[in-house]
Amino acid sequence: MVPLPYYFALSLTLFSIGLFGALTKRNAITVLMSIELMLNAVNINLVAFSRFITPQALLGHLFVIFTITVAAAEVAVGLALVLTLNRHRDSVNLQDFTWLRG
Amino acid sequence: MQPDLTGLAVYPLVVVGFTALAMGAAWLLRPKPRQTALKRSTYESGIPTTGETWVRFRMSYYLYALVFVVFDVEAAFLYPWAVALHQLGTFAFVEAILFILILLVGWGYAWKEGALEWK
Amino acid sequence: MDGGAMNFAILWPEIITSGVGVLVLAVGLLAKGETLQRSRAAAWVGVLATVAAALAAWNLQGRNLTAFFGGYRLDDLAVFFKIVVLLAAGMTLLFAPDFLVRHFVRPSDFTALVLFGVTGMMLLASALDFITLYISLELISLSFYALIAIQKGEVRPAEAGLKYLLLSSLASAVMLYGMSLIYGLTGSTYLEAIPKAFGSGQWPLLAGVGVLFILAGLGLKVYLVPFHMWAPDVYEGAPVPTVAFLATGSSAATLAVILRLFEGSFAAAGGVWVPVLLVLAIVTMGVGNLMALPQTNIKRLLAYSSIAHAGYILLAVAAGGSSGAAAVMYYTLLYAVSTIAAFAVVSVYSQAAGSSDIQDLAGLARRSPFLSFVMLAAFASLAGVPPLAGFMAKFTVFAAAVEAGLLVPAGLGLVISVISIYYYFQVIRVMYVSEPRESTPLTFGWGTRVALLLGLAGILLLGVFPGPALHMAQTAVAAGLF
Repeated sequence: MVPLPYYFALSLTLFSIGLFGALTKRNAITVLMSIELMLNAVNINLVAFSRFITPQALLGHLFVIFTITVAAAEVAVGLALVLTLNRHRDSVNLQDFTWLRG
Repeated sequence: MQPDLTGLAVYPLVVVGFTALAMGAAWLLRPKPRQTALKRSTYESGIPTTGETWVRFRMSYYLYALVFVVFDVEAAFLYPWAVALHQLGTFAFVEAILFILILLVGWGYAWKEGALEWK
Repeated sequence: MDGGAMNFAILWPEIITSGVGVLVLAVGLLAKGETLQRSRAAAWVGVLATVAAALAAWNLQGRNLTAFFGGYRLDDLAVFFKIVVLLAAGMTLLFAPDFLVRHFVRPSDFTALVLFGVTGMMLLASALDFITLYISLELISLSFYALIAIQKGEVRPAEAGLKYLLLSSLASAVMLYGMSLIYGLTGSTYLEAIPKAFGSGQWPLLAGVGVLFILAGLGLKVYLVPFHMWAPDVYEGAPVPTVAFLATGSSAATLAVILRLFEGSFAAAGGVWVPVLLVLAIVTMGVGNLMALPQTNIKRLLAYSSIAHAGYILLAVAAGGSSGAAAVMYYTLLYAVSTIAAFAVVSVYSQAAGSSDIQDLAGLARRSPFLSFVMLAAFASLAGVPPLAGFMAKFTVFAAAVEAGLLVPAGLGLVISVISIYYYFQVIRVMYVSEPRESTPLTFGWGTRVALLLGLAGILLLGVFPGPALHMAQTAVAAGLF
């Protein structure tokens, strides 16, 4: 079985890539995708910890189901807002929004 | 306890066998004319295709996708619920029905707002 | 897992608000067109729901019960914050209809979203494990994404909504990573398990990282600098009733959970976060008060005022102890009442003027003496003028800081808070001294009048008789955080 530190390293890498993307990218959809990456890093962490540290309690698994749901809801609302703005501006670039600096 | 997996092993054999049989029979029975350029086009007796595949999709697709996501995620909760329903009893059943009812209100909202109409 | 897995009697406040929210949403779908009568009807149903929920919460005082397998706790701390957020929701719904009708917002949508948001806030005040905490926090955030962008066909609210969404979901992802670290180290998602797992000794490095990540995630909701950047833009772009609720309810509920986490779970790790929070609190006060000075738009000014007040409250969190926690609770209540009263006035005058520039307040005293008197009371209270509520609140915060031995931060805070008097009175001067551009008297509905009177009564009573509210806060803290 793959030992815990490998999972942790994977999740840390994913989280860092996501955080970097969310802070540097200027496209609203790319930022949303980066945040999604961070949330998935959290999911890997939770499932791995659940498997290795509390194999009986399934707490981490429970948490992951809720994280996935909330992430889906968040992205749905986010995309809906991007679509609304796209109708007015024909752009999803954050710099094109007059006073939005992300 | 390990579940009996013999049925699962037979299953791919049946799938592959049935597909091979059906396609082989079609190959045997169908007429075999000479291959021409017209025969090789995507839709032989339809309108010739135009443009590229990589075009921007209409926004309506996204609206459908958004409504889909809501009910897709609902399944994430209903699976564990359905598996454990026998141990959980009536109370959990009522709770899940409430959950679905609340989602139905949301679905009705999307319908009324015209999110399901193709514009 | 003790204390009853499913104890529905203690969930009545949440059941009332969420149930009425779903009903209002469903009934609103059947109605056609947005008339003022319908708008008022939807809002009054919402107000009644908040009153009923507040009474239910009031009746649950003095209990110490848990539900959802220990993930939810009803104690006096939770009851106090529940009543504060219900007050914020109720007052917002009282003055919202006039605004909503003018901006073609479907009133049932607004009412339902406010009720869902307040449900999340009440759950958050009771959250006792990371899963409940995260879900209720996101319920609040999701309600606000929609509430901010609720004006159809307008660009600025949608931009504000997207900005809030991107920053808030980024912050909650960071917070979630911190939670996953702490879960990995303790093997539990319960808040009370954290001090048991680590004891009072040296905390592992990763736990410290987790604590700071959680502080960052929650910091965005309470305007902690450097996570405050969204506030001025979102305040300016969003509809006034939404901003009133966002400014008060969302930060109040988050403060409840900050108290539970930082005074309870992470108390033993004070060495990690107290210095960080102390510096950030001083910077938050400074940034909020200094940036408020050059503002010409009342909504942006109130945004920086929110940031400044967050600084005072976080100073009390850093001071800690029972007097620090009680000061946080009292300050939150007073801030909610004063800020919503101010926003109710802003809502009325900005509709008439078509903008929210401070210059358009000119001569408000002659156009509507009542409105300008409420604004005077609210701003004087926020500035900390005795005998109004704001003075008592600032006094309790600085007293708690001095008691905790934080003399230098308390002194700095006092000096910085003097600046705030300047910009608050600048606005009051425009209202009372400047010549009015128009002379038509301002009109507003009964709901707005009730909200203004409630705000005024709160500001005066909490200032002159701070005893009952302070006593309630102190007994709540004495009963323990979990």
